[in-house]
Amino acid sequence: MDRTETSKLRYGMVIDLDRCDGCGACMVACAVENNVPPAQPRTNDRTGLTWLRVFKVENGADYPASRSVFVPMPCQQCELETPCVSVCPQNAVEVDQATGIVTQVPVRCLGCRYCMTACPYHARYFNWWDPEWPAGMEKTLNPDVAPRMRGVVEKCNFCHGRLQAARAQAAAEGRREPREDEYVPACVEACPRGAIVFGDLADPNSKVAQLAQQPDTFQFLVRLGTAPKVHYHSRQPWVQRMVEAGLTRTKKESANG
Amino acid sequence: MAINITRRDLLKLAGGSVLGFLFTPVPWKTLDDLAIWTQTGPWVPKLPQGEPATRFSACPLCPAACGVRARCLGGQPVSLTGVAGHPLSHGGLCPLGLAAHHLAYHPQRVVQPLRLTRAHGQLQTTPLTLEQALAEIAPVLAEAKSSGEYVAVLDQQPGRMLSQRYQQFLGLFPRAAYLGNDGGEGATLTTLQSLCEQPYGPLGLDLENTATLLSFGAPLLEGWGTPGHINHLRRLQAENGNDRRLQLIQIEARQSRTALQSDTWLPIKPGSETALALGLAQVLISESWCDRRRLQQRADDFQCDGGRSFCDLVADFTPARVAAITGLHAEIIVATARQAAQHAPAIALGGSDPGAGPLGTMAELAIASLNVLLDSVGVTGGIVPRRALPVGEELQSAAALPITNIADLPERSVRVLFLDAAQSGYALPWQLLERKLIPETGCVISLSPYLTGLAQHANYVIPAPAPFEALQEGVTPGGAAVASFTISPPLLAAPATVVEPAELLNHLAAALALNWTSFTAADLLRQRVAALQQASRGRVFTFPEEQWQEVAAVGSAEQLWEIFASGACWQDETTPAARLPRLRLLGKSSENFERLRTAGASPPALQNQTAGSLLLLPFGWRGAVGNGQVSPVLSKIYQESGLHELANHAYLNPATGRSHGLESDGPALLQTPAGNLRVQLHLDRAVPPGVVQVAVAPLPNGSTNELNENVLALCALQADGTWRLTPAQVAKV
Ligand code: SF4
Ligand code: SF4
Ligand code: SF4
Repeated sequence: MDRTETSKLRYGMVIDLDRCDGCGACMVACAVENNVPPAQPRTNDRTGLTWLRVFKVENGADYPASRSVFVPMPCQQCELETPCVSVCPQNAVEVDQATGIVTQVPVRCLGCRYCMTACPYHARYFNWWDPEWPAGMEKTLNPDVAPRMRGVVEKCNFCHGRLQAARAQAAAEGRREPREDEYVPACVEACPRGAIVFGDLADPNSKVAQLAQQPDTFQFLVRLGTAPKVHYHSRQPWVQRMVEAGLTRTKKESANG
Repeated sequence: MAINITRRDLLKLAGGSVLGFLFTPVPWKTLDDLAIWTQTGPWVPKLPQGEPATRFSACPLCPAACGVRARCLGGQPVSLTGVAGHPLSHGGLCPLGLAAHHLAYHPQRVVQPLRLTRAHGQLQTTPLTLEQALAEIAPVLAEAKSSGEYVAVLDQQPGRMLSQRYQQFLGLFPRAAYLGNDGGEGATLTTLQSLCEQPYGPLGLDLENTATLLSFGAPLLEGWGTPGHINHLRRLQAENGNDRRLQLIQIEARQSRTALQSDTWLPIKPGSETALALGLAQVLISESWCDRRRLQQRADDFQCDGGRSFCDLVADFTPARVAAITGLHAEIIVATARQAAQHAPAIALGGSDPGAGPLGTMAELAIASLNVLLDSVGVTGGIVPRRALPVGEELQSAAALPITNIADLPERSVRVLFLDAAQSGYALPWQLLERKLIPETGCVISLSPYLTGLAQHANYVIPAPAPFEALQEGVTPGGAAVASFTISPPLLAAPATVVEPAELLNHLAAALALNWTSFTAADLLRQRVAALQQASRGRVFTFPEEQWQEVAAVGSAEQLWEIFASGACWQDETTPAARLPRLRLLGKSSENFERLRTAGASPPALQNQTAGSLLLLPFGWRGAVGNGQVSPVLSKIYQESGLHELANHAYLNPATGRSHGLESDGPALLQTPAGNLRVQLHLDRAVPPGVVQVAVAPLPNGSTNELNENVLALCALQADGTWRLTPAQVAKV
């Protein structure tokens, strides 16, 4: 897919790993915004439903040299060869040409979970159980986002409900697209450390585009060529080494094209 | 002719039909329809839109009282965010606060008075009417009054108008104790006050202008003080990278999040904080980083005859000796002292993980003295005096009871103990309170919206309003440099059966025919607002407009009340710097010299450790370890991501595991002299050797009638009320 010809906007993120302290506010805000139900008692980190999961990554050294960083991992909004799109038999996943957002259409989803297998970032989650909220708590749900049922796959969609609301607002004021401050995903808004910056990567004047160009900014699994629109930043040499050592193309892979 | 159909033919037919069927569109269409149908079935929650509105309040979960902007639909809050320009929280809300609008619907919610009994680890509850509950509780109070037995209140958020009411109520009994639980957050500051000859304080930290912060385990980036404020400071620095950048030196055995994010982490051996503080003092004195002459004039016991002065004490704590005790290199100890002296103003702050409990009196004493040596008290960027928050007229005259340290209360002396509803966010082992109760007849009354935490140990639970169901107040949070005050207007209607704590006191006073003027919670807050208006001090920040207004320019108390009613935060002016009065660095007790020397050489908790035993370190994060409850969606950060450790999960360094025959993760039994607990064992290289860390955490979506066993029940309580280190054994089961 050639982005220059197709999409006008390219929404993306830069997440500063040196700032994230793993508080989890982003995960909670995401669940509240997108009506992601509380876990069933038997849920674990394989069967759980978290559109945004913050992983703890360690440097492998022993105490006191051990260090960790926290890596918030929403859908990486793969731009090229979007793996989940190419495998879905139902066309339940699409890349929105206008925004670059990889959308998930739960009503079309059969729950075959090919996309979960294809997603190299483990950013997709299967609904193992019907959603359940404690009595009365369903009153607190966000009516802008439909709850999903058992048997479908779901994932981060850059808070689509918020994009729609911002678009409606812009349209009401005779503008074509929302301003940068009008469309802010819940996790970005919630992060008390200001670790996540969101915006249009295609706009060279946007903060997010500038941060994405910084020398210490990188993407995960670049060797797969999925061109994620979620970028990460860290000045810590071991974090960069971890990404470089583990996640770039090996010589053999390069030789094979 | 007989038709012979074999089993094989049947299977072929069935197989063929299935195969053929698969080539038709029927199964795929059916699946598709089924998928769509399941999304529209009657079990899908219908979400009515409702009239949209933005309302403002303050988060009532902890003393920080962060500003809250609530998106409401049809009067129902559906999401919460911070108030961007808020002077204290700067737009921040912690994960607990972000989901606080769920708490009214928590599975463990209590909406009716309950009588509790416990048998075989199970909790039995008998619902009562308020009249029945009062008829059972009032005679017990009457007995305590006539017999002169203790009546006590544990106030989780001291300083509120309600706190004043508790004190006033207690004043009507011949023997009463007013207890607080701030997890030691204010201990460095109160210890400093206690060293002074004349009253000095209250005190706060001028963090905006601090250059070095020597934090002895204070969980600064895990919800300490006003989390939004600390985050704001760190954010500003990250963005500006200015020269006066605050250097955060974290001194802590555990690899906490604050340790990970600090500029320098000094991983000391557990329990060696006192030794390090004395060691740093030794370097400051021996290398003449402090003004000896001035200290000599100001501190009576800085250096005096008899070999028992502060200088004599710290002389023993040379870098080499302290290195052996703390596990740090001697050069690092020297370099840290030099950095604090050179990169001034520097603050030494004691504290600890909210699950681990307070540091202890001797460690706090050593840390408080370090501030005097660093000359950081009463200066910009240091520890500064702040003015008290005005109190309503009616209550001003009431004799205020001082906060009694729980450890100082005589054992088996309390007949009636009230547990306040407010959520402190700091752990408190139940057995610390239990041993104060008179056996058999001691009666505990919990004013709580949930049947969790300490409330599970009560005899009666009186249902208090859940967060955002009642007018609540937020008073100056721990460590703040200036006084502040916030009212959180309710966002939800409370069930009719809920009883505000202030009302309960009115009911009890009436039932006992005590000399008591009744006030509602709203009356009390109005009194404070009137007092603020009368004092004509400071400014109010209004949430909807994000604007400041001088109190002096507000015409009447009623107008000021109107301002608060839609969300506002008052902040005092800064107080002029005032130098410390004369003081005693070793505190007022003559025994402190010896106590400090012993505590520095080897913490009391470690003295009885047997060879081969591990050290049990409980840990947890603010808000999630206290009495309150967390939203069920917090299961995201507990069980679905493992971002925060679940209750009763134990962590060991793999090398420690190997030497104790524990080679892999799995179920294990944790044993201490106080009992056993089944835990889930994890080998983790970030854990200090010789230590077993166990999480104190809530059940994120827990609805259980089993008494929630807590690792705190296994901790050894020290004489000063701390429980940080307990010798323990771990065995595989
Ligand atoms: S991260 Fe996974 S779910 Fe997201 S676009 Fe890429 S492949 Fe699809
Ligand atoms: S962008 Fe929205 S949907 Fe995606 S992780 Fe953040 S909060 Fe969740
Ligand atoms: S809210 Fe921010 S600091 Fe907290 S875990 Fe998420 S990205 Fe990290």
